[in-house]
Amino acid sequence: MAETAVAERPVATQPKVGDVIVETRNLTKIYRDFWGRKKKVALNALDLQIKRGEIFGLLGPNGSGKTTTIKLLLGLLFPTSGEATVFDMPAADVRKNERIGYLPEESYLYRFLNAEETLDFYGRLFDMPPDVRKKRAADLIRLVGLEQDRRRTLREYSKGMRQRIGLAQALINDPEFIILDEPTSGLDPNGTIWMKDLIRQLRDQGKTVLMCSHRLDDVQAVCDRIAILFNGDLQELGKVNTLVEDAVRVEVRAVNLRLTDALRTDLEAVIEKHGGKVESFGHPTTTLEDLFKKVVEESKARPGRRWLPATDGKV
Amino acid sequence: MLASFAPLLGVMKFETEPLTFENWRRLSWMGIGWLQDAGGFAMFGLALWILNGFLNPVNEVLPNGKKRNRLVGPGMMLAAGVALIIYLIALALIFVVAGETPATPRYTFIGRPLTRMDMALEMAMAVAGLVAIIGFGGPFVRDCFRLRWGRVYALAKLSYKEAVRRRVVWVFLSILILYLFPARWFFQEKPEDELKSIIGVTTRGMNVLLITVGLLLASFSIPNDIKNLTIHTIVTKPVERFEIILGRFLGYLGLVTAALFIMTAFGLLLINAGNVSDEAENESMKARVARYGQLEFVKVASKQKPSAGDFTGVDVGREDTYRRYIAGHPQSPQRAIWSFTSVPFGSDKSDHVLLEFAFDIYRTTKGEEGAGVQVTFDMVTHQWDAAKKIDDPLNPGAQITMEDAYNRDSQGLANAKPGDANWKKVDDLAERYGRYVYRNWQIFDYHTSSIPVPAGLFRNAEKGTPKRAEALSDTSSTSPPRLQVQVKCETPSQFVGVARYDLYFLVTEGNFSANYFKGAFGLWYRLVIALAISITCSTYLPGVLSFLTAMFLFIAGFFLDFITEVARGLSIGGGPLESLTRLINNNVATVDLDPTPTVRVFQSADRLIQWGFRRVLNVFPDVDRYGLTDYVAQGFSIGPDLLLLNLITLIGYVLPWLVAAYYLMKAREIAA
Repeated sequence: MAETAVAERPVATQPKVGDVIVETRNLTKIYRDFWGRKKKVALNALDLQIKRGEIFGLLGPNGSGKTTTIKLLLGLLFPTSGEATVFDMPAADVRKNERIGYLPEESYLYRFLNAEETLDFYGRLFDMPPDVRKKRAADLIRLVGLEQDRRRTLREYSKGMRQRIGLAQALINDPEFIILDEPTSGLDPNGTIWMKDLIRQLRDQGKTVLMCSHRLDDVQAVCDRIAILFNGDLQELGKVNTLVEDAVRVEVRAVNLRLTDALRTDLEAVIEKHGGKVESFGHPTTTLEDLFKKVVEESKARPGRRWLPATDGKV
Repeated sequence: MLASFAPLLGVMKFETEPLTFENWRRLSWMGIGWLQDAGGFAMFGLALWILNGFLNPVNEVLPNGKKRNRLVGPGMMLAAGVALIIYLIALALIFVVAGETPATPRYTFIGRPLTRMDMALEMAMAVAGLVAIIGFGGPFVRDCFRLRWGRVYALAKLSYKEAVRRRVVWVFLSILILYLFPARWFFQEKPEDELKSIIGVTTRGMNVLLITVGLLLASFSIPNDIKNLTIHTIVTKPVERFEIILGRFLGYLGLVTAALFIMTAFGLLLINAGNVSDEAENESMKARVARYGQLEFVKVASKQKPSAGDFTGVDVGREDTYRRYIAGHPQSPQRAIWSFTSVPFGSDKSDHVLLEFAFDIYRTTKGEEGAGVQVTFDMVTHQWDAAKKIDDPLNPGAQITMEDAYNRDSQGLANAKPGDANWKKVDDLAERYGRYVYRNWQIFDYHTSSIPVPAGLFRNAEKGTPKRAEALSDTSSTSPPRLQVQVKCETPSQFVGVARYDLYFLVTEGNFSANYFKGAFGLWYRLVIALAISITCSTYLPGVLSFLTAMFLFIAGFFLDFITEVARGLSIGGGPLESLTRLINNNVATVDLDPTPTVRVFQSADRLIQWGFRRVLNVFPDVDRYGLTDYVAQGFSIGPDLLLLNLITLIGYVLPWLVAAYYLMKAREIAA
């Protein structure tokens, strides 16, 4: 990542590692109709803290309040009651945005601009000097893999390409806190893998990431902590590893071994001796993602490789 | 200044006074009026904002742990409280004034006589308005200091690029149609009016084109950003919301300004390259710098000084009452008199100054074919006193009245022209006596003519201090006149129609091309208004509604005089509902209706409507004020003071809109 482009930052609010960056207290959002009648409680008394350096995931079905939470934190919506602070500043304070990067669910960018112009425009909004802006835009275009397409207008881009340039605009100010709304939406498996790696890299650079996604495997793969919302209520909050841990089951993996009847009998005996009960035995399957990754890597290593049907006619 | 070009009449009409720095009193009253109007809106906005601030507070925690509402500060509350108290005092004064016995007016407020209590009421309203403006405008001003022009520039550039890449600019090329098909192909006109028509038609075309495009672009920009959610990537950057408004506003303004400049330059090129007739060139291809006087109508008895009375000119029954008429006859006592408090002479070394005029003729008989109507111009300075006895230079020791001496000395010098052998004598005579008479000049309907006036007359006028003449009603001018021009119609059974701006001294002539560009400023002012209204509407309304609202307000601005008449209950035939009953019942507009219960209900409802109209009257832009191209078409120079004062009134109108846009955008939930 290039050096920080935002020179002026309020020193008093500079967070230390482990500091609370985002805090909501009793944060509530109620949508009302024209006459002020209650239409929907989108978020109900949310109490949340996001700490510096972590990847925080917001999960929940459609209409659970994930995007509302993000919009409240960004000042796109105003809370009905309660408070939200980012970098110790009220969410409505635009100064906090100096240190935030935001990738919306869809990449809502101006389609008559090309990639360079897009990043230049957003760079100007941060008052970045022209030379810094130019260098930063070039670095980010390279980072998101759009060097070949940097002069094409965004209306010619595929959804995945727009998502990539959207991420680039979110990173233009080298933000400390990055909000990603469905970051893998529209990306192919390769792009998804790339995005997840990038999110981890950002965390490794000390940045804080808040993401929400419907793709639970993505969240599980990258998030340190998650919050699960349902109908505007916070249902679960904690570390991913702790939450997904099944405390009453044990999984053992071994290599250089085939499952034989003898092995099965021996293992059953050991488990029963310790008061447990075998549910199943078998060879583990890899994830489709791992398979895809492997195939792509092999293809790159051996150009011309292609799948051929087996000679016995079985597929 | 309502300078509406009337093609049928062919000459310029100023129905309200053009703004000049000379009339400070009027300007200061305009300022007070602005404080009252803008202050009223500010108080209304303040009340709404405070209500919003308490219903939807945005709190921040102070270092001492206390919460503070970021929307409503103590300063705003204080200003609202003080303004409210002063408004209550003003309300009490309204009751006092209503119950007051008629008192002698001590002041005049835009032509309205005021007593001391009236004046106190006006001032109380202005002070309350000022406090409300401070309270409401305070956060706006404070946030203006936070503006980063780099960001505003980025947004402006984006707006510009958007319009260009969406090929909006091609629309501007349609103006070429107006240039390709000259107006003279379609309209019958006098040769001298040709240039007026060209300028009139092209500027009207530019008005429609630029303003419509401007309104469309500005009305749909922010709503489209919100609809396409592109605004999410902007407001989540450190961008003040007012910067978005300003960026959009300036971007589109830049675009239409560039288009206006190119169209103006192209129009000027075509005028210069085209075959404009000599008559039109003499009439309009000029930039006259004129010195105007105050007009009054008087009836004079023979050999007496003119005396102001109830005579205000003859109404010949024309629907257009802009001009009043004087009856023609050698013995006619009716005069139109222009009084000049300063005279157009100084460093100019010329031996004469032109007096230009263009009058209307109302004929009661056909008259002689091809002949005009004869008019006599009698110019006298403040030193002229017809009955005053002076030493007779020809008969030392004897005394003679000034008039007799002048009549005797001016024998044989009638209607001399500069360059004639007698002109020097005429000049000396004018300087000695302070009088110059030009008899029986033939005028034609709305044809601009000029007569040379000897410079000696102005030298005489400049000497001494004029005394306030008892006989003349010169209350309208700030100081007594130095020079007066009396116009008399000599042709029997004909009437000459005049208005204040129909006669003037031609001080100098400026450059037509420069004046043509100055005229484009008027259109630019209108564009600023259109963009400001539409951008403000678009911060709250969807694009289509925003466009229609802005369009409605802008077009209504062209009928502001009529709306003002309706609001003040001055329209003939009563208010809207009363007029409707007249239409249905076929009642004549000038006859009072029978006070039946229905009529009374309608009249009461009309009063309510008028009250409502008066409250929102200033929301309508006075677009006619900025019709500066009419000056160009008529060949009059647009002075820098006129441009500057119009700019000030423009800021006075646009600023409240921008403040409203600031609050509307600030209060808006972008993602709702």
